[in-house]
Amino acid sequence: MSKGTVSVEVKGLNVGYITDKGYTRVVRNANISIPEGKITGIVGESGSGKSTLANSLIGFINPPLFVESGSVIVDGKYDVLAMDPDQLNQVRGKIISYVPQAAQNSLNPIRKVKDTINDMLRGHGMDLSTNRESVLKTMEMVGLSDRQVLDMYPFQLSGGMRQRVIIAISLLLSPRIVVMDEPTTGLDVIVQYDILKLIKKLQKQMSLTIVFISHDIAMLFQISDYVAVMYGGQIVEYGEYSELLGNARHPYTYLMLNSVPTVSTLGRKLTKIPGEFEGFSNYPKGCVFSQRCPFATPQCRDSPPQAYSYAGVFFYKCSRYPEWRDQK
Amino acid sequence: MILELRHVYKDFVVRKGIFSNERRPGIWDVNMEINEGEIVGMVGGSGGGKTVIAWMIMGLLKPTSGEIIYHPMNADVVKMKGKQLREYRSNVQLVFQDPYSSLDPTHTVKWHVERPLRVSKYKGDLGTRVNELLREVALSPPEEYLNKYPFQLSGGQRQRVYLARVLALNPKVLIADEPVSNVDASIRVTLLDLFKYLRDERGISIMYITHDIATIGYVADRVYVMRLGRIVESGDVRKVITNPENEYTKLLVEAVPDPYRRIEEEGDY
Repeated sequence: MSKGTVSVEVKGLNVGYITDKGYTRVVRNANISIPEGKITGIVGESGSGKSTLANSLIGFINPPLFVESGSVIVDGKYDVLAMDPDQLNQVRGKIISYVPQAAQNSLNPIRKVKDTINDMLRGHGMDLSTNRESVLKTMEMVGLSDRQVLDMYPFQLSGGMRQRVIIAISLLLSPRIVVMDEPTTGLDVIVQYDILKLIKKLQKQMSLTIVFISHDIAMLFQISDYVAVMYGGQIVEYGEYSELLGNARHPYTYLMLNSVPTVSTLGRKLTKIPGEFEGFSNYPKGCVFSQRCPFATPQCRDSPPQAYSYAGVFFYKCSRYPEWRDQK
Repeated sequence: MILELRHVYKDFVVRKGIFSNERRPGIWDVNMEINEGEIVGMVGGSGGGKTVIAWMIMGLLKPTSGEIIYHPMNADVVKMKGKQLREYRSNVQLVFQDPYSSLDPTHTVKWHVERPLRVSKYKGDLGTRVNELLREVALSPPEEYLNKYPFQLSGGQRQRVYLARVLALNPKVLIADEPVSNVDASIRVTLLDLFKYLRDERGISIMYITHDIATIGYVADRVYVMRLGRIVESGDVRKVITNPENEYTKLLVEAVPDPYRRIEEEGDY
């Protein structure tokens, strides 16, 4: 990836939540370079810290969320974690925009689509009447060419159409980077497939940088160019999707990929990952995955592995690679 | 054959005004069978009528016309009442999608599993039976879970507590409505294997309902594909998935996430 430019650079990020019982660190020492003009997927199970990481990328740091240390540099010059709200408002929407989880269900039910769009434009000192052309063009790009949609209320739209509206809103100010948190969750399988194709199309057409967050590892590998795998608040592996698919360096990536039933691997025996994540309050001393890893040695459970990097920016956090691949 | 749907129709009444209603067909001429000791899948997109059929099988909704015959009792579910319906419901049990709302947050695991045993006036030792059930759903050692509350458990564990509760009544049929959709991927296989275990070791017949045709391929023996309240294709799982005949089934197979298949943009917008 040395040829490409870095779009979002996360360095030494530690983020957590302040609770009644004190501070719980969730995202631990996250370092990742997200390349420009590609789809980078972030995958992890519930509670792995992927949404917390996403919130940090766009500077949505509201209590109880708390940033301990680290930096997020967007587009080479915006240090989003050090900016004040006014400065952030200049960056959000225009440089980097965000599609939060279940956004399609958070459209204001008593406001028409055009009012919601107008609100958003006004927040940036514009309005619908003067920007009508570009709004219509964006709506057309997301597959809503019928102008009536603007005059509809959210309840008149299907789930897929609402998601298209949300994607249109996120693209209105022509950002270069879009962070999408579970953009297809809750949609019908076939609608989900259409939305994924739409995202891929928009990304190619507008050379967008997309950060795509999902718990669905199968879907994520279908659409992403690069994939970061999160477990227990850490990015345990980051690399090209094809490399992870064929030659995963972290056992968790390998086991996850082999635990999903797919149509093309019908009848193949699936791997089970024993146990469950211990939780953040009882954080493992050594490698975060060592308690569940079939390849773990006593040393794995004792001291955390370093991040081994390769091909420039990619890395994995496993001290047993490549030996474990012969034991599988 | 243990359970059978014969020409089941269900209309829904839509209110058009103060005095006028409109009847819209929901389920249209559905014929289905659940055989002894098999896992039969039902797959389809949202609004296909999957959950409506599950509710009709449970007797929670009445079909507009048609029969739902439960063969061991030789009776039509639609006409069951009182004691007979209670007996039927201990034979045929429903497993819900969301393990976060199917357990009572104010009670422990022990209470949840004991409850059906108490209600059915279980003769033996309650404690032993509860432990047995928890072990059966791979929550062992049981002592570790007995006094926990639902909020202390993960999604997969909750779903297993719910299954233990269901198994307490020795059901013959399970109707599982999206049982693994809200469970993390790494736990999903374990749960799917648990269903296979229940089929093979306990001889329970299972109807597995989902939108995900790939998991159907993993657990089910036969499959019904539903679209807009009708069965559009049915048959042996392997055959339906590898060689679908209906256009909608083809689309479902194409749309299901598969890491080995790339999504390419298409210019049909």
